Amino acid sequence: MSPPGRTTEPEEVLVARSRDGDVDAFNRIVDMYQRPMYNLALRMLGDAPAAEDATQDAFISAFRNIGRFKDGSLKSWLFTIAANRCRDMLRARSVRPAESLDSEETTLDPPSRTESPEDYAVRREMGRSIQQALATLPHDQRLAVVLIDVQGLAYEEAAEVMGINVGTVKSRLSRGRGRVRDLLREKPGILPARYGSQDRERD
Amino acid sequence: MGARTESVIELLKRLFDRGHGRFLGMLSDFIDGELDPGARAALEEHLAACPACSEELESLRATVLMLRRMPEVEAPRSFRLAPTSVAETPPPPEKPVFLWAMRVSTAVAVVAFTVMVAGNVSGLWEGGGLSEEGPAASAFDAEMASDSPDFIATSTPAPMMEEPEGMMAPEPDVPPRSTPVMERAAPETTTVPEAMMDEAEEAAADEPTLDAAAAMAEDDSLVADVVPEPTGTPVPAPTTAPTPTPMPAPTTAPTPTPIPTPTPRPTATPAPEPTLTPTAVPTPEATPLPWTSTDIEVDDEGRDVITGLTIGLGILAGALGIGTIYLTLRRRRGVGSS
Repeated sequence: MSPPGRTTEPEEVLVARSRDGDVDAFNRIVDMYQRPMYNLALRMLGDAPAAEDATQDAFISAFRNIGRFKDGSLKSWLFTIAANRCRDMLRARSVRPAESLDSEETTLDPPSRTESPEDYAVRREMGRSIQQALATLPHDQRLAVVLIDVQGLAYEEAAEVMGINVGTVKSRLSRGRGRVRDLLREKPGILPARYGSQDRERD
Repeated sequence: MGARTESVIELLKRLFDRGHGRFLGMLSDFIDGELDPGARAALEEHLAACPACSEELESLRATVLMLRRMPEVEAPRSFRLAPTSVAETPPPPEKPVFLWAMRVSTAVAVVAFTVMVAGNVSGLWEGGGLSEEGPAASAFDAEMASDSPDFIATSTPAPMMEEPEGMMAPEPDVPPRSTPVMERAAPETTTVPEAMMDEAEEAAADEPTLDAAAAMAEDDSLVADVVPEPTGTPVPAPTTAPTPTPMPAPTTAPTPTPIPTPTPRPTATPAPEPTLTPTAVPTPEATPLPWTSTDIEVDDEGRDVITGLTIGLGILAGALGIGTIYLTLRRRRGVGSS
């Protein structure tokens, strides 16, 4: 709604104006972060409508509490709010997102123009498998994997979002990745066939 | 010797496994380049010699790659805030504490209501609730009655006052006064009546008149017909009863004289409904008439209170229940949306 020219304002200014109740300024922050926020929620919840709710709630909560944001990474702060909202929603429904993956079609990008239907089908299948594997992870491991591998955050950023130290982030990430790998192994054709994979499958 | 070799091999194997596990735990950090140089060198050395760990590394690397390649989805819509929607502060969600208080009080109200209803149905209150006042007072009355007639006379007015003034009939003083005493005392010694029946019958055999009197007293209408002349007491207003002072039952004795039916049963003859007479039979002595109209009256009063209480509790429980359900639903809905 705001003129495009004004979006060049630095983040701190937008934050300061948001603190004064300037919804327009805050909406420019929304523009900047709604995509990663939505994707975080989507990967955590595995359900597009729920992810929309979580994202909207997180932004509303962020606007109301922007006074509490002192300094540091605005993105990490916003992610913290979104991650907490996702955790609350998961607790509330106490259902693994895997069960609500019917809407999985909406969690993938549509085929690009350069992509063949076969490639798109493969990508879709892989995306579905990964999302299902993620859904089986405990919340803290899932958050570590999503933040670092899917969202591409640095360990320190992820530690900030999760409110834990980097060492704990690493161990959660390691366990989460291993678990996803184990689950993908059970599906043929996703991970390359391996040396001794037949023997090792049981352990 | 063989066993020893075996155990050594086992030990080595375990050591190797432990190292294996240790290296496996380093793979994730290794992929991200997060290992310090020493650990990194050790792992690389191990990987070169361990195809299994190499395989683990490759599969993990492939997994991480797939995770990183997960497409980022466009936001399906704008999440901008509408100024109006943010401006108004949202209603604070019901605190769980309050909700729990509602739930607990609902439960309490329901239980209390159930107990009241159950008590009503099973007649628990007839003995319990009313006896609170009943027995104590009755015992007192009974004693007084037997001891000093005067006292009774003076004390009677109170209950008498409540008697309908329209009943003007001179007789009332006797039955009402004696009856409350009886009925109140009754609950305490429920077995008495039967024993008294025997005594009563004997007594009746001796003095049929007494019995008749009791019967008369029992039935108001009857008494009203008969009483007037005998008592002789010139139309004493029920309230001013003191004059006929004498003992409750005995005093009535003279009254029945006009109908001196010898046998106890015959007393029923004047009365249109013989069923009433038997109950009146045990009355001979000062403790007559177990169940009379006053008895029922007190009962009704208590019942009214209890019924009122029960209805009130029922309404309260219902209202609390509805409120709790409403709050619970609202809260549940709130979890998903806001």
